[in-house]
Amino acid sequence: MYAAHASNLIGFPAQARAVSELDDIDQLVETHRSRLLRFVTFSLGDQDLAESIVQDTFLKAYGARQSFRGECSVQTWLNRIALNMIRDYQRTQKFRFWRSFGQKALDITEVAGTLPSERSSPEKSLLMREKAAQVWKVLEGLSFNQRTIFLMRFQEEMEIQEISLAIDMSVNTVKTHLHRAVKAVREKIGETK
Amino acid sequence: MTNPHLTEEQFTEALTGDCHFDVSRHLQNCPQCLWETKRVQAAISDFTVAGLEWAEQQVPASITLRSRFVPRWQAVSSWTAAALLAAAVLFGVHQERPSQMSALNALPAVERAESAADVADDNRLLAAIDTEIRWQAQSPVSIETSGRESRSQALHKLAN
Repeated sequence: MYAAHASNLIGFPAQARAVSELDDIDQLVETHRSRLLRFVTFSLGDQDLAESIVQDTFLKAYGARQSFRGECSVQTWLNRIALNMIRDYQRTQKFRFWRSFGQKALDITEVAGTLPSERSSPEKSLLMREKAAQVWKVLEGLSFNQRTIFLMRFQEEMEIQEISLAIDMSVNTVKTHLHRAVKAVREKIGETK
Repeated sequence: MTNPHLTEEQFTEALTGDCHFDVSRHLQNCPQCLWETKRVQAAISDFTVAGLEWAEQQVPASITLRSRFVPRWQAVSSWTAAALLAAAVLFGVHQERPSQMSALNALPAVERAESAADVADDNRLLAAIDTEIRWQAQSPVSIETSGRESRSQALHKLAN
């Protein structure tokens, strides 16, 4: 009984903090937008679509903030909402139409060009850009699930269990997708050695 | 003969950080596998950092919120509009009554006198008609001729 009471005492402020964090949409966007945009953009490979989905994700999260129970981080919760929206969007004809046009495909040279060069030599910076571009090229060729799971694990630093819940797959399936993605990346990086 | 280096699965474990004790121990003792792991980790890290730097440089589009207070304000404005309408109707009625009364009071005395004369004429006409009807009832034989003449005579008298 004491333990339950203690857990309530411990759990309540965390949830209250999270809910109050969600109450301020400007703060929410400022804190989480970059990471969410990165995740959605690299999942889809389309910047315009990603922008749209990120906006919708924030609006949906804000609208449903009362349902957030604080069982995961706000970022994970946002990723989960975004992922559902991506999946919903992928089912639509509109998505296929725009996809066929490649409305604003992600330009990896632009992405890699943003790597901070002042912290390293020009040669090292160039090498980093090349590596980043290579990783993206490999991810582009993967299935949506493999790419998304890879991004969740390495970009969003989500645990396998968290990914399993977010993507609604068994832990073993998540591990299999992740293994295939990592293997592909490793092989591709190895080719340029 | 056992493999001296990590398997594909073990490399994945090492890269994801979800590795068993024997994989960690191997990495401590095998520079080649450690180098390989670090090489791939560095590439993924570069990609991750580049992605975040890029995302941070994207100008956020303004997110327009439909405030949760909007429906309430709409409700408030509806009630306010209804109240104003009711007030306007009541005010209009209140304003209209005295004006009607004053209009009646303002009618010329001549018009009122004429109206009284009209009423008296009407009464006389009705009395004549009543007399005519009573007369017809008394002499049913000559109803077609005498009755009509008498009625027309009576009307003519009244008209003059």
